[in-house]
Amino acid sequence: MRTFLSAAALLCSVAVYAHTPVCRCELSGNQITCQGGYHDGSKAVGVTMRVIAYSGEALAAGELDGASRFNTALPEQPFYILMDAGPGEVFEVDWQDIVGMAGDQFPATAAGGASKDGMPGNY
Amino acid sequence: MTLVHAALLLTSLAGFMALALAMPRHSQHVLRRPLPSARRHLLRLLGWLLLAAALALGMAQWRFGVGLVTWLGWLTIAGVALVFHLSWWAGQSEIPSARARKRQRDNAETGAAVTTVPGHAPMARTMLASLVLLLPLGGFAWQLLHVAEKPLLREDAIHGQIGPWSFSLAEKDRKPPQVVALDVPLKEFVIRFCEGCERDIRMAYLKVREPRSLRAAGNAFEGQGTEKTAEIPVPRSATRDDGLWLTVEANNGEVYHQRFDIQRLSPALAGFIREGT
Repeated sequence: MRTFLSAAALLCSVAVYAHTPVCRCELSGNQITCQGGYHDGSKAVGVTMRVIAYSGEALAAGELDGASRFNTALPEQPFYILMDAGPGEVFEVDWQDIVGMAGDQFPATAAGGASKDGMPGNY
Repeated sequence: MTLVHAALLLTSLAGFMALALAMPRHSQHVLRRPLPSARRHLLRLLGWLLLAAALALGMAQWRFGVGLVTWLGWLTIAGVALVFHLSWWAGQSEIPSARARKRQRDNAETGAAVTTVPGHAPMARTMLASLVLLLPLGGFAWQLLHVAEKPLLREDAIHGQIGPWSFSLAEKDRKPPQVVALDVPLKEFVIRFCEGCERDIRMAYLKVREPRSLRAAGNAFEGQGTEKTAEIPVPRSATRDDGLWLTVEANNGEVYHQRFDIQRLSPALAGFIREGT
């Protein structure tokens, strides 16, 4: 028995895999519904969801519910939704990546880079 | 590196030889005499110590996981080689000596009566044994040739400088992103910073598109050892012009960004994005 347990422990010891958050958002009317989870298909119940304007302003926040879903109203300015499972474990859904969103919903904005809110750093 | 492999094989072989000599049957074959009990115990101890030393050498070089597997690999080769060699050695007493064979040939030429010697049987056995030995070696060589090249040693790896640190960055494999749950494509990248530089680095992130805040800087490079891996999603509406963005946050709060051309860093990812648009 001890040998078996040792062998099992040995086999399991190196089986450590990353847990990457994934998310998919859809627009229906004026309501955005996001389904979050992890890459292996498991739910991410309780993970923080933030709706952030390109300007950096926090527009809404919440968390994934028991069905690993999050609902929010469609903002009136360019935005992105951040599924935040911890530092370095995030999933960003730009408004242009939302299923059902018209490409010209917010004209003259680009996904990424264009009008950052004073993102710190050296380029 | 080759020296460590050679040292592993030779130490394993020496360990197995000591263990074999500690057995009366094999010591009789090899030394033509039995060894005293005390010496057999000593050889047995030496054998196990040498095998343990080979394992320690493997683990010191490649850490626990890879070290253990490499040790087992060389142990197998050393064991198989020794088994066949001992069998051959034991069979030597049954094979007529070269001088005896020559005498028989001479007798045959002079028409003298000779007895039939089954010389082809040991030869066939030797060939069969060699074949059995060569098969796993051939398999090992085939595996070695087909093993994936380390990403950061490939010629497509980028070697650059971000802030005060030099780094090497590459896609983990040259395949398109893997589509996982919720139809999200994920692509893995590997990074290694200069030796000792990790002490000054709090976190390094990678993402498609320029980050809008440090919190949204992408997925972090993680993992044991000096090589870290990040698995990043590819946005639905990504374009090849978005670029891949590396963000490095230092322990002193400094943050550095660098953009990489997707086509340059990962042609497979660029192709995937092109097909999707």
